[in-house]
Amino acid sequence: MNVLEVADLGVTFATEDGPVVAVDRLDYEVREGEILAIVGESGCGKSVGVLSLLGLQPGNSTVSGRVSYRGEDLLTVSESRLRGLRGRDIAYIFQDPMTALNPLMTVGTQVAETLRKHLGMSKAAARERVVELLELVGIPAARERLGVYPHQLSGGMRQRVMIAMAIACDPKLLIADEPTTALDVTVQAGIIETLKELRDRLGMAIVIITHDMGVVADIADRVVVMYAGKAIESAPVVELFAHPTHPYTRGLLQAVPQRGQHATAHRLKGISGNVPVLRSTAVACSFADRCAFASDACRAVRPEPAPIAGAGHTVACLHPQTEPLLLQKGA
Amino acid sequence: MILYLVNRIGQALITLLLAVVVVFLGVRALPGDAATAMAGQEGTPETIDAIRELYGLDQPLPVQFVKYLGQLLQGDFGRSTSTGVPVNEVIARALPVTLELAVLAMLVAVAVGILLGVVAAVRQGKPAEWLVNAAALLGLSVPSFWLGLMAILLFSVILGWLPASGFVPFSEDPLGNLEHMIMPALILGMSMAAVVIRQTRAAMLESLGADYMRTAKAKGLNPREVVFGHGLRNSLISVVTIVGLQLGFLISGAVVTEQVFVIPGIGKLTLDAIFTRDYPMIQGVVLVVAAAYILINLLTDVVYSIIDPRIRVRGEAH
Ligand SMILES: Nc1ncnc2c1ncn2[C@@H]1O[C@H](COP(=O)(O)OP(=O)(O)OP(=O)(O)O)[C@@H](O)[C@H]1O
Ligand SMILES: [Mg+2]
Repeated sequence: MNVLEVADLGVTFATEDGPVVAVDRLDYEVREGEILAIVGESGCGKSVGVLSLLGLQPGNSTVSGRVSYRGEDLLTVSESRLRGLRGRDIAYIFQDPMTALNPLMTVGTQVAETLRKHLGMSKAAARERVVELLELVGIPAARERLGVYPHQLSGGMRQRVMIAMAIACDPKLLIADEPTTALDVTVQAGIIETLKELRDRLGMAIVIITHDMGVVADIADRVVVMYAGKAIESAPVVELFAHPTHPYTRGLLQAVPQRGQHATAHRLKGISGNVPVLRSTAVACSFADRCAFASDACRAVRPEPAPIAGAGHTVACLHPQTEPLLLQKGA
Repeated sequence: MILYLVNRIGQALITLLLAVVVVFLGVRALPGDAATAMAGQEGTPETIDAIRELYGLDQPLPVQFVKYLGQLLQGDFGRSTSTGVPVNEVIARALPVTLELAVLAMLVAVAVGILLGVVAAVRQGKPAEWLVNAAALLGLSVPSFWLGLMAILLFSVILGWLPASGFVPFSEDPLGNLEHMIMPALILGMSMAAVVIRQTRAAMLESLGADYMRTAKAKGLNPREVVFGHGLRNSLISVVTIVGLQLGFLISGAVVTEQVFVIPGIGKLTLDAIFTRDYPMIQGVVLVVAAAYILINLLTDVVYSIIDPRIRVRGEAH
């Protein structure tokens, strides 16, 4: 069973320099209880892609396509229905817990707000539930923390508060947009561990957006690789690491810093150039200009996702690469 | 929090003491003999001598200052040189009038200003925003005395709804008092409302783009809860600043408004005192106004720390 099916999703921003296509006919699905990782370079439309599911994308935008949440098309439902789903059925965790929490409200009030809104809990009941939730996400001395303000907590603790807020109403789907990027390396692993535990205990599906292949290997069941607003490869995590097929995916994997190297120095070593800004939906392969294997055909037709050998593995490429990828191991 | 308050009150007292020093030295720095100056134009040699005696102007400055301070602490501001009435009595009668005017004007300005400011921000780029911006510009650029005269013309002379001028104490006739005060308060509050609109709009636009607003929306809150529950509170910090600053201007604005509507407040008192060179009265008024400014500042800071928990903590860290 799929909790979420995204088909042909398009998001176009009207900007002063003309239209910008941030999401370009994106397809993917999320199965019940699974952890799906979405990876890709900065600016390839990962955030916009998930925010637009519930109408949370910024700016002046048009959204097209179909987003089916347990059979209901989220792009056509009323605004009040969307509000009913936000925070209750589908909840978000954002990148920077410093700015994502309201600086003027106590942690307890912020978490309780969701409970009171969706479950109509009394103040006292919500308070008790908040203590449970804070404990559940690994915040020590939870009861004493109810009255503190976000600035009194460390980054990791703040992100745990965000998580508590997101799981408050037991959502079916939790969307975490780079939940560890803004945090110290030392606390990243703890947050990832907590997310995994929550999935096991509460059975929700999780979509996690990340740049970090280490995180992907650690937590994901399946992976969708995005490039220029589209899904160019998707596969179960083991399959993807064993047989990366799209030249872009292979570049991403080669760019993973090896042991002993600085984390940022070698990012995307395998791929030169930048993600293009699309003005209209692509009619050719968006990656062709950065690809060592590109042919004339790549610049003439847009490759559509197609299944290849390997369970649940699809790739959108005219020249899928099948030789084993040699990752240089640490020096 | 308490530490923060003690800290701020200490600062306020020091500022007030500085104000006293300035007023004290100001009169003594007047060209010529201070006693002659303080006696006013009709000062006879006897009154001049009396003043010299009263203020101990023949003694060294530090001695004079201690004496002056002692008098102030007892609430003794001296006597008006034009009427002979104790200054503190005159001020005690005028101050509540101006306070009422200022408070009413502020209420109008804050209520109207915040509401329209929020509307302008939320409806950015829509006709509602242009209307509010135009109103704010009008409120800022039209001089209040002209606005006052026009209002008198319309509401008193043509429509006959409100009295054109004068004042009735609230304790004697509450309704009559409001009838007299409503027009001046609106006029006085107008330019402040314009400033509050602009500040609220700017602050709200910033809040609207903030991450925590997206979080609030993602929680399933409705637009009203998002804007007022999360956005407005974060905007209020800078709105409070501007209101605090503007309250100072309200006092000077009151001078003009009280003149136009013939209201016996501090503003009118100040002008009359300046015209008659009534130095004790001027000193008294300056001190009271300075104290009011300092108090407003203090209150602004207290309100800040109530709104923003981060300030409380910083204040205590010192
Ligand atoms: N408010 C906006 N107005 C116009 N264009 C926007 C807006 N927000 C995002 N975009 C464009 O949409 C594209 C995708 O942005 P998005 O934030 O989804 O990238 P991302 O993959 O999440 O990147 P990152 O890893 O840096 O978070 C970018 O090219 C960006 O320029
Ligand atoms: Mg992003």
